Amino acid sequence: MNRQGRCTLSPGYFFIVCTLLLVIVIAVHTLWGLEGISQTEFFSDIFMPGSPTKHLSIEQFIFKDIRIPRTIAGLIAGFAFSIAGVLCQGVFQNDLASPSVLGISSGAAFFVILAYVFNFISRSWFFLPFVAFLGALSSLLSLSYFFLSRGRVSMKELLLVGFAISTIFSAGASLGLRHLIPSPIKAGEALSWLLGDISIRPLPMVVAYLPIVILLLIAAISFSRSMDTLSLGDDVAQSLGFEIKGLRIKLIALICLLEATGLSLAGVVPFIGLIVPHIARSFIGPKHRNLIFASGMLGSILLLCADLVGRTVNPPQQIELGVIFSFIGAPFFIYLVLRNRRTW
Amino acid sequence: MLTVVVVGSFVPLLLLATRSSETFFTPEHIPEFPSSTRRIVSTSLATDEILWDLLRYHKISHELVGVSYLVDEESMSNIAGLVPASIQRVGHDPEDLTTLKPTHIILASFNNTKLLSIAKSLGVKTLMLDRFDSLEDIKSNIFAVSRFLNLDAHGAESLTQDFNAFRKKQYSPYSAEKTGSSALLVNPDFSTTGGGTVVDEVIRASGLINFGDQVGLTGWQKVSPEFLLKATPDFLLLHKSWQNIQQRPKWLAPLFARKKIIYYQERDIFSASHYVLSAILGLRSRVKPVDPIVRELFDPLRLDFLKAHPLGQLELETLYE
Repeated sequence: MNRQGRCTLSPGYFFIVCTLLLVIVIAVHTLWGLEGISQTEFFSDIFMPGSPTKHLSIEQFIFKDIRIPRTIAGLIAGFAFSIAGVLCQGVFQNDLASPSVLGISSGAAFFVILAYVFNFISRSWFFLPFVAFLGALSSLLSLSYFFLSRGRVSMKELLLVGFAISTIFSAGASLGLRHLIPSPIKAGEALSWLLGDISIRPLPMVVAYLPIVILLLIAAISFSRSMDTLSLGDDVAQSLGFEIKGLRIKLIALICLLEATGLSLAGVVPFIGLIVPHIARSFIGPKHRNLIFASGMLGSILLLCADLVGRTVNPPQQIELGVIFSFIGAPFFIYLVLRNRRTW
Repeated sequence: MLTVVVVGSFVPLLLLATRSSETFFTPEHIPEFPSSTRRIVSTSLATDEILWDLLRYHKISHELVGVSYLVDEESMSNIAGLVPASIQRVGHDPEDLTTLKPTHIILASFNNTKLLSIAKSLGVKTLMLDRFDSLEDIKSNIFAVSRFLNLDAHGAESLTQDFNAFRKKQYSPYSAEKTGSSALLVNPDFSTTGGGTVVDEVIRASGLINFGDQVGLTGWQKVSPEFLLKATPDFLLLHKSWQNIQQRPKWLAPLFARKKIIYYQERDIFSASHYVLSAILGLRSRVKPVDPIVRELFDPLRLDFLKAHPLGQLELETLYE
């Protein structure tokens, strides 16, 4: 326990604990409730090369085509959302900043609703992630236009513009959901995505995201030293030779890409980008190199746990991720506001 | 002081908002009105369908000046393409209600709140229907609308006579208790229906057991795809969009390999008007093609309202060996 009341662990020890936890959570998330997994042929049938899917039992089919993609989707989305949260809090030098303040989630939500309105979703199940990605990027472009068209932009201004963009896209999404999607069934599908859901993701799609998230992680870690310097304040960073504006543009682009990756896999999951970096920071300290990786691992663990709770608390019903994270995240947000009140 | 002013200004508003309106009625309390030239507006698809047939029966369909915008939605409406464009569509903008200068408004409790408050503020005769959970609710809604519009009961009886005929027969030779066949409805958003819904009654009245109700679900519930894969109903009721192989999620393949699948369009089973009977008959005819109840009720001499809109409207598709 250090002077700030934080329980700082050595990075090595922390990563060992996190890895063990992650392995346990993945195992439970993938295997919980499946019958017949004690039989040796359960796994050999699934992974035997050339084994036709139609010969698998329902339990084997569920493991292969639902549980594995669901776990991978949760891992990637949790990782992406949390790293985006760390970068966001670093870029805005604000404990309460998270990617949603830039309007990225709202942009993705708006585009997904539009896709439902124009019935594009039914063309291919791959279309939804693509549309969400485009929506997140459109938020980024709106924000960049504002950023680049002005000479000097304060962080406060940027947060306010992000909030405005978020409001516009949210209004568009609400309009579409309430008035433009004609069928209540389609509206239900769109709402499912808006509430956060990883239960129905095809394996090729989630596997395709693995290299993307690894590249984004490498990019985030490559910025960790600059982020450490940035956390000392703009003046110090400038005096050390950093080109602050350029650095911020790159980091915001990276945040958008990470957030879009998470959104396209899991839909809108509020608060994860806000709470995970705080938990990780309290264990491992503020150095970004460790913090980015630790937040990613913790985010994956939390998201998989939340999905497990949503799936098992009242079967066969399923509670969406967004609902669970709102229950956890909102009180945490209030706690942060109260804790930081004196410093504002 | 400020608190006193704020509270003081809100109290009259609160009293105004909560006072019982002399023009706002529920199905249980409808007084008698003198009939005169009326401008009737309906704001939900269920009441559109009831009104359209009821007013045509009484040959006063010209009194209908507004229907909900969903009335033209092919996939949902049983009267799509029948209501002339001269009758205005309402709902997108709640203020359309004001421009129509209605004398009678028929609302559903699930209409958006602005529509409800505008109807209240207009001070015209308004009927609010708040129960759509069973066939009995639908039947009493039809009679409530008829009483509200001061129509003689023949029209409502005409619309509901087949309900009575059907209810007398439905648990005879092909009852669910005897066949024991079950059906599970699955929407593309992985929601299904348990007990206490019209769809639950449609399934039961079709001679089937509602699988969702059997496993203890009530109302509309989102369920996990794993539950859907493990469930073993005799019939699966799947949305029509899944009839297209390209739109089927691959990870639900075992679901589509089932032997008895019936594909539905929204209007086939989600109706909350007298057309629900055509949904039941349609479903029964798929489940038991030689059902004598279906054959008898299909007799065009007996059907008044279905004669105008024969069951050809139904798009239920069956796919089983």
